[in-house]
Amino acid sequence: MIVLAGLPDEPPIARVATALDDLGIAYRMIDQRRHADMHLSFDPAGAQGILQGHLRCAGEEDIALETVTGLYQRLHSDDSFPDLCDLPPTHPARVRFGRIVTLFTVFSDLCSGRVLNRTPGMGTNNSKPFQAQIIARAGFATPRTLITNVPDKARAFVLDAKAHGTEVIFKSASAVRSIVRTVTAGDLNRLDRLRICPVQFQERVTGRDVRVHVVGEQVFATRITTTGVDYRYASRDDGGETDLAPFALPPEVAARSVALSQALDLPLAGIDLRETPQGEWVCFEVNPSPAYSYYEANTGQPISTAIAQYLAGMSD
Amino acid sequence: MLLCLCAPDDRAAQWFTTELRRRHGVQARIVTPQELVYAPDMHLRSDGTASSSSVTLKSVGPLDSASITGVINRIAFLPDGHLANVAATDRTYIQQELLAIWSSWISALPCTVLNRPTATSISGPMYHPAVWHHSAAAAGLPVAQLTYDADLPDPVPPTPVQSAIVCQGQCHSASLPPALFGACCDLAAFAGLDMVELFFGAGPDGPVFSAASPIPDLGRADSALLAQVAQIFHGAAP
Repeated sequence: MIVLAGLPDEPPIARVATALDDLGIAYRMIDQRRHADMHLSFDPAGAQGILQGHLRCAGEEDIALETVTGLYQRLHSDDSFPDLCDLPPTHPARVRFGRIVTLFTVFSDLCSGRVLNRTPGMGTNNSKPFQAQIIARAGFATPRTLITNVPDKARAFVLDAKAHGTEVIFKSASAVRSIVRTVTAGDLNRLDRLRICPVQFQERVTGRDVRVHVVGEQVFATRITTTGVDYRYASRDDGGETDLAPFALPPEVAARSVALSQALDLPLAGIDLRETPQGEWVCFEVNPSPAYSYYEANTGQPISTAIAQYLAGMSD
Repeated sequence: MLLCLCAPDDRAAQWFTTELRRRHGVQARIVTPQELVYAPDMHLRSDGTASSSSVTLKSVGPLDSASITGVINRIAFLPDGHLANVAATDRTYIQQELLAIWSSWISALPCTVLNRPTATSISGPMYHPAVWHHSAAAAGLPVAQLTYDADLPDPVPPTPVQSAIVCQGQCHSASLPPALFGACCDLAAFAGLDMVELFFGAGPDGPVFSAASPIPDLGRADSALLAQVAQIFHGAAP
């Protein structure tokens, strides 16, 4: 059985549901909004190494967890639900919601079927410099980077880049506040604040952006033309524009992308690449829960169909 | 120099480090997470393909990645006392940044690190107790039947009465039946931990798996574990 879990009307989930319908493949939708009607129970040791238990949603047939062969999950935190977000953190409804999410996540980690994606892979994005080490080992170039708490080292890095005609950006090292900003002269005047916490500085890489979605061993590359520093937020900038188009990735880069997603234990991955004018492929980061629907809607690339086929075991 | 990264009150690590020096001549010293987080100078640099790092510790002075020959990582969490006057939302952000940065800093060291951090846990791979339970059963260790239920408190695992420390494929325990050593090593390997303490309770037919910790009580280390760790870091006396 294939299970989709999250918000049924959220585009990434909705598109996979449509693709499964189009392929004539049965699935069950777990609507996270119905959290109060859900019940989850399992024995992790199960039988012969397979977790056994059930997921019950009032008014629907139980799902035997050991029968789940494919799972696509996009679970949301309690802050996303109007019936929960204003409750105190210790309110029983909020505590139970957290418990359902935790146990569902444990189930997804132990599920013997195909899972997009499991926790260990999802977590690699929590430390971008950590993930960058894996990216480099996979053979991609990464931006020249300095993380430091020393104002003089940061200043020297910025000025050295500037002397070579290169801008420097700074961005969070964790998954929090992941917005890229260019270092300005004003920023150089407040570098003493680095003393409280090191900051990640990167030389800006020029070139054309390509977002690669890997689904199992299938690769979908999308070229992005933008006027913003970070195309994801370009529409928020004054006059920002972003255009997307299907792109034929060089075979060796496509193979490297699959190898990277496998190294990260992410059968579904959104890889942010930039091709420099010198032809070098630089990888910025890998999104473990990509909103691929944005790219599919703008290019017609059949990513949701590939996800549906992967979940059904119709593709590697 | 071998660094043992541990909390200031980790007496077991202090004893273990002292014994590594005394019995095996390993140049080992304790470094606390406070020394790292409050270091006056740290950096992690990548030029796109290679990386380098350094930290200046008040007790040691400058240390670059080449001068650190090994790490025993026993950091459970990073200090945040210096953030007491920072607004709550910024404090949470900075805590996440510190975790991401120091996890990657330790992970990037080219030397052997027992246990190398992950992106989500500075202590190394970390799992929900249910995952440990599943993995222990899969490794062939005897387990109690436990049921996790959304509407019930988490099941209580058997009370630990004995333990084993697994270090890079060798299992050390004075009390656990040697017949279980292989499964213990398999469980540690599955978990991706170089060093882990596995706890066992008393079952009707012998020991049953209870829990695991990536920060073993090194006060229980025997001479064989000391010798193995010394050998790992190539500092053992002949």
